[in-house]
Amino acid sequence: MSQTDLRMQARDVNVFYGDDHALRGVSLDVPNRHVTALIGPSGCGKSTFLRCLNRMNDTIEIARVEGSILLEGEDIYGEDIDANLLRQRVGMVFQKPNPFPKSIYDNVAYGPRLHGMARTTEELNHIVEDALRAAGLWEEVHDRLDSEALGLSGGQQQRLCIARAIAVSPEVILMDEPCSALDPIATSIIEELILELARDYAIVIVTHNMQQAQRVAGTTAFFHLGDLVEVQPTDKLFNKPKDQRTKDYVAGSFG
Amino acid sequence: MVTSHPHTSPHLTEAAARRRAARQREELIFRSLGLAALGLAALFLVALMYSVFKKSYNGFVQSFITLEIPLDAEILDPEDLAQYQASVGIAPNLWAAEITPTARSAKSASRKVQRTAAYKKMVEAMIDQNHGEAFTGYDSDRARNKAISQTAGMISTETLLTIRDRLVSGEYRLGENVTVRALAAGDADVLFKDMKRQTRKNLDSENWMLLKESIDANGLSVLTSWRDGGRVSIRPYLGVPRLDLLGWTILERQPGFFGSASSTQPERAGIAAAAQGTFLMLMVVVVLSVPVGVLAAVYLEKFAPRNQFTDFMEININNLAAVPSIIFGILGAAVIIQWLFPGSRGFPIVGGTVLSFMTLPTVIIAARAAIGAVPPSYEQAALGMGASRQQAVFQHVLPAALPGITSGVIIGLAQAAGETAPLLMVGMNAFIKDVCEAGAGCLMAKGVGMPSQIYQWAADDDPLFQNKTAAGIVCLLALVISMNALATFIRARFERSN
Repeated sequence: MSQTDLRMQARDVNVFYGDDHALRGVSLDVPNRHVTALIGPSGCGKSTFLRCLNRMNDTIEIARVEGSILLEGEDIYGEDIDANLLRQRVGMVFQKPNPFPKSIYDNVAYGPRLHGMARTTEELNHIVEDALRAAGLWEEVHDRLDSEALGLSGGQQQRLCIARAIAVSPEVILMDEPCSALDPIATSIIEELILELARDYAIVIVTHNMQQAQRVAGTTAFFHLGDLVEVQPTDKLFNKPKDQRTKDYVAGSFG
Repeated sequence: MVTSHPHTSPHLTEAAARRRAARQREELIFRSLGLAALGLAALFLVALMYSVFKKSYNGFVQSFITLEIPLDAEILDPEDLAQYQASVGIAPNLWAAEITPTARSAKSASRKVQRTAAYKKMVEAMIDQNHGEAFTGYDSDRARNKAISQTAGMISTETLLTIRDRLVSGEYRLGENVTVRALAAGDADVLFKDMKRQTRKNLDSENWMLLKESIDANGLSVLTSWRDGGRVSIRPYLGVPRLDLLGWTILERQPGFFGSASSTQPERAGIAAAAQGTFLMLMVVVVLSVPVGVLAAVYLEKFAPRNQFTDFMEININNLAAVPSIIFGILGAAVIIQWLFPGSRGFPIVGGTVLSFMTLPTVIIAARAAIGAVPPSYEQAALGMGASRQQAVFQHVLPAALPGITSGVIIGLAQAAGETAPLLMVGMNAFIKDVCEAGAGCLMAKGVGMPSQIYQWAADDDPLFQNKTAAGIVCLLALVISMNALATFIRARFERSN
């Protein structure tokens, strides 16, 4: 994998919540057009790391981040970086579907409007349609774009959140256990969608579900107690883990 | 069917039965205590409502007497009238056109014309002339004249003043007979309503027939003394003959309560000026406490750093909601009226500001609760899309919290509408006899609020003012209850839509 294919590079990232050292010296690359999965037991720091990638940790007062995270070679914790613009470039999908209590259209149009990405209503309509198509939701909702987003099913809501995230043309999409609140059928639809999106985007997904990591991820990183224990191509990590802790975790001995 | 058990079931032992009986007894006691408490509360409520509503009827309606009054040129000198008209810039408009104002002092003329005595005299003259035969059997002429004067006193001063104004403006002319729908004076008003109620209640009873016979024989005095042993308010009419002999038509149920401002004459007193004052104050409260309260709540809930200072502020805001309202009144009187804007005593804008101080904690607490109840996922989603903290809060959190905030604001307003003490402290209990018509300028004119108006009336022991008090209370209750109902409705709708 050449250097240019890397969208993001984290180098020696440490995170503190007050006195609590939550993440210790993590270095990880996020390749383009590729799914990177972060796995590990609860409290291992995988979500913390994910939230460093778009500086969502900024909203937590006591959180302190050290080290460098580069997006296209630029340190996202640098002084010139506008965290709001960064979050447009690095989109996020949350654990529980969280559409705004607005119409389907307004949900998807929110980001483009916020960042002034469309000059005319037609442009905006195009962006919304493209995003909904990319999220595989267009066929289901194109005739009721004005109805309440909260009226959709859980799986549809999560796809709407994905559409909302990709409507602002991000460079990276972060997903924080996007299927944990969904039933198996909705989960498999989202997983297919992730694989599809991986053709265009760099995706980082946090998951509790090891089968899910095996199904969607090209690379998997195993976190344990704030350490990044091991990063490997997914099948290697699951079949020939180098570290004993990884071996125990994927074998189901703990976690 | 099982009639006996081979082994004793634990359900059938004596100890179990005893425990069950004890448990059931406790439950029964608890339930009946609860019911008794509820019943007692309901009883008090019904008693309150009954007494207030019953008393308020007389306050809402007014009695009128239709009668013809000759505008006697011998009682009011045409020359005086002409002179007065000239002094106020109205062309003399008299039946005797040849009369011209002379050099007599305009001051003495105006005194005569302006006072109600002359007009009352006209009524007395009319009574003596037309119904003199009803006034018989008095010991002396003086007693007879007194009875006539008392009868004329059944006409409200208000009506006499209307006659004066129409004479001065030229609408009426001296010498002509005018038919007037005269407002009954307060005591007479109470009396008429009372007579009517007695008629309704006892129409067929033997009691009433006896009473009616004695009225027919002896006149109104019997009724009044029978009524309650001759109360102060009725005493003026002892000795007045039977009303039917006067040939007056007495009309009741003419609502005037909502259209008129306060008055020293209870029959004229209405709620209009007070309602206007309360409305203006509530507008001031909305303008001041909603933006300040909601923004303060947003700041405290979403942006303020967590430190000792904000904790201190929080505790204080919560405590402020429990501060007696009169303290806010003292604050308004000391800071606004004595220090910042001397001369603003009694202005609705000052009253509204003081009520805002009082409402602010309520609004802040309600708004904070509403904001805190918005799922954090909305804010997270907006932040994740690249919205700033402020954008996320104002575009997503605040709109979602709006129904809760609105209902909190309305409850705060309802609370403010019913406050009396602060109004008394800042002089919002002025005597206002005309509804202000200066639009927004009324904010800066002496005013009165509904609670302080009620307080004023309640302090007067005139029975009609007591009725007006009850009517005012009914209006205030209606206002507060409908505001609370609106708040409940908004909240219920919001909860259902979530």
